[in-house]
Parts: sequence; structure tokens; C-alpha cells
Amino acid sequence: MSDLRRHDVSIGPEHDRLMDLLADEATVGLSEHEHAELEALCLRHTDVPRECMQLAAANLDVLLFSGPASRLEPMPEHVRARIAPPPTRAKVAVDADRDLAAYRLPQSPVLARSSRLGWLAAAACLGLAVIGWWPRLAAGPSDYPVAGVARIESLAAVDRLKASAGDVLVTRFDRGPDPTAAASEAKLYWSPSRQEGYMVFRGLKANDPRVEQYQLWIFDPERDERHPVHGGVFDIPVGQETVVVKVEPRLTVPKANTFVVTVERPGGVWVSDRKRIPAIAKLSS
Amino acid sequence: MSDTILQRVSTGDQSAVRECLDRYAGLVWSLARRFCFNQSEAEDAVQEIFLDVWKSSPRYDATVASEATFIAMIARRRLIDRRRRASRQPDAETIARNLPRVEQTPGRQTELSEEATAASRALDSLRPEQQRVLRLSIYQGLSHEKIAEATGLPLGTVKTHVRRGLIRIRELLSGSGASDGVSAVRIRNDDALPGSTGRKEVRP
Repeated sequence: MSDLRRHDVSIGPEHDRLMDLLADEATVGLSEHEHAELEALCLRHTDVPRECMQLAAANLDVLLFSGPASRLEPMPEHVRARIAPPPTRAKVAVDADRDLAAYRLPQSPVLARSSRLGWLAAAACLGLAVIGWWPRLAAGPSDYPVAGVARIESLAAVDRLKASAGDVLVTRFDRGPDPTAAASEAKLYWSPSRQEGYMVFRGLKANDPRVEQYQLWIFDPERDERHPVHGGVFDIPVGQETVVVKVEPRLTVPKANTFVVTVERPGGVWVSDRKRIPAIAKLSS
Repeated sequence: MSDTILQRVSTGDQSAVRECLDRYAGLVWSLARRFCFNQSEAEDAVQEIFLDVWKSSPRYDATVASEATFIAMIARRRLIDRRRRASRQPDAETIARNLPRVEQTPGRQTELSEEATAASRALDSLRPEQQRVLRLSIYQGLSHEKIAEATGLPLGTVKTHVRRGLIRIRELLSGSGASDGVSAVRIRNDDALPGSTGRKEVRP
């Protein structure tokens, strides 16, 4: 008799509840409360295959799409072209491990710092899972640019957007603890309908693009908090007091509510080490 | 045994990434089209899914599931999450538009892989009422409440059918008395499979 059967028929409301939650997880998903309950039950019933139901459901889907008459729909080329390749081996492995670690940590160093820094506390209040947000990555050069290069524009471009889009939201960036932001101030202009905007920086430290670049991340409450949208990398040229950076996210972020700038290796990263955050802006909807 | 595609992906083999997309992009896209309400959502979803696939590739274990099943599981999980965040359920029109059909054409069974045939048999072996509930749940993505409405069955019965149906599928797919609840439904030339036991954590 299989493990599953044994557990399913083993008498006990706790087993029944466990199996119900596993089935729900595989078919309709769980609320946060249910998920926590499931995790607790799994800890007490370690011999029940954790993803047995999800694999069963996946089996049926694979069946559905098998065979010549299944009408498996080819992915359009333009969609495939947008799929980002994985980081290199070291990055994937470290990322995966730290992803799990991030879930277990009650508090990240970043969040710990936030007790002293009001700007990050504000982000925490937004419900952003900053703790599990960006696992750390191994240092090392990027093998390819991961986040597109944001365009540098003029202030006139900001005026044009404000004049042409009726929904431009404006907010100030809060300075982060990174030294690059010590003497900086910045504003964000964002049009949700156009899905474009601008960041206007004054006094943000110039970077050497061979060593590091700034990278923008955009959060949307409808997306998984661990995977904010890449907003592109950009540079602050030496001697340029005011720099206008165009915001053109790769994906649609209909409810973008937080914009975070980090300092990363040249070309940007898929998952930030969250060590260096010069600026964070919260949009009030 | 040679490395699987996902194992090669996890080592940074870029040719494996292309192979993975060649082989499984259609599966993921078809799932996304079924779960999502429009093409734009589906396009966003598949990017998230493959990001998850890359990240999860080091944890892929060929003794637990085929690559197709592993990737479908990641895709389903992500798509279910997206649907919950959007707090929407598909309407009949969306379902009709997006649902791929399993057509019982004469040649179909002979074209399916051995494992897929086994899955088909497993599904067919369920009681008609159980089959119907499972199809509505898995293939049409209906909530238990909506299934209860559609079938006239009590909610508790619907939940029981889903639970027992999934368990039965896994049991039947795990082969002749295998006790691991592990199965393999493969798409064509997928890797050799099963045989492991015990609790395996493959959650991304």
C-alpha cells in the first residue's frame, strides 16, 4: 500500500486536514493562514510526500498536453524572446539556497537596519516582503546584461510626459543608507497608464560603469514580492549634477507602488544582494 | 545516465536552456493560456514561470518526477498564485476559449508516451463522478464551490473527490505497487524515471 493511501486512510482529523490542504494547494491555492497551517502539519508528518498532490495535478496536465491531438499551443516567438536566461551556475545555486534561507530568517540585516532608518520602515509597512525579497548573490561579473539600459533624458521629457499623460504621479525618493546617496535628492514621475516615467536625480554619486551600475526595481502588490520587475540599469556620469533617467519596465506593472534603486555589478543582476540601496520611493495610490 | 536538461541548466549550460525552451515552452505557454485571462497576462506569467524553473533546476530530481511534470508543477503553482492574487475565477467563456481539448481520436492513444497512456488509464479508472470533478478542477480550474454548483454535489463531496482522485492518480501512476507516490508522465523523449521513496522536497 502506498504512502499516500496509508496516510489517506489513516484515521485522524489531522491527516485528513493535511491531505485536504495539499489537495487545495494543488488545485485552488492556499491563503497565507492555510499555508502556514500546511507547513506546520508537514513538519509533523514528514513521511507524507510534500508535493504529492501538486505532482498528481501536474501529471494530469502533462497528459492533457501530450500526444498529437492535444492542441499544445506553441509559444509565440516574441514571447519566447522575452524569457530571460538563467544566471550562471554559481548564481543559480546560491540564489536557490538563499531563497530558502531568506524564508527561514526572522529578520534580515536590511530589515534590522530599518529600525534605524525610517525610509525602509515605510517599505516594510507596505507589506513588502523585504526579508525574503532579494536573496544574496555571489559576487562576480555579470555574463550578460540582465536588465536593459535605461535611457538618460532631459528635463523637457518630464515636462512632455506631465503635459501628455493625465495620471502622472510624483513623489520624492527617500535616501537609503548607501554612501552614493549621501548628498542626493531625487524625484519620481510615473504614469500608470503609459507605464513609463522618469527619475530625476540630483547629487547622486557618479559611478564607474566598469565597476558598478545603478539598477531600478519596481514592486507591484499583484506580483510575487520576491521578483520585482527590473527597471533597467543606469549610470550617473561624472560632473553631471542633474540626471534624468527614463523608467521603462520590461513588464507591465499596473499597480506599481514602490521603486527601489540599488547598486549592482555592471549589467545588473537578476536578484539583488540588497546590500546597497541608495533610494526608495513609495507611491501613494 | 546522462544529465537531464534541467540538471544541465543548473550547471549553466546555455544550450540546455535552449533545449528546455524547445521542449517545454509549449507546455508552459499552453498552461498559461488556460489559466490567464488574456495574452498579456500569459506573457507575463511565462516569464515568471521560467525564472522559477531556472532557479529550481538545481533541485530537480529525476527519480521523483519527469521534467515535464516538474515544470508543469512549477507552472501550475505560479499560475494558481497569480490567479489568487487577482482574486478571479474563470468564467465559462474564458474556459471555452482557452481550454485545450483532449480529443479521443483513434490514433491518440498509440501516439502517447507509455506514461501518458498510464495517466490516461488512471484517469479513466476513476468513478465517473470523481473523473468529472477532477477534470473540472484541474483542467478547467474551477473552485470547489463552483464545481459544487455545477454538479449539484455537496461541497464536502467535491473536496473528497478532488483529494481522493489526486491520490488515486499518483498511486496508479507510480506503477505496479510502487510505494512512493511518485510517478512519471513524460512527453515523448523525457528522461527515464521513477523509483524513489519518501518525502522529497522539490518546491522552488
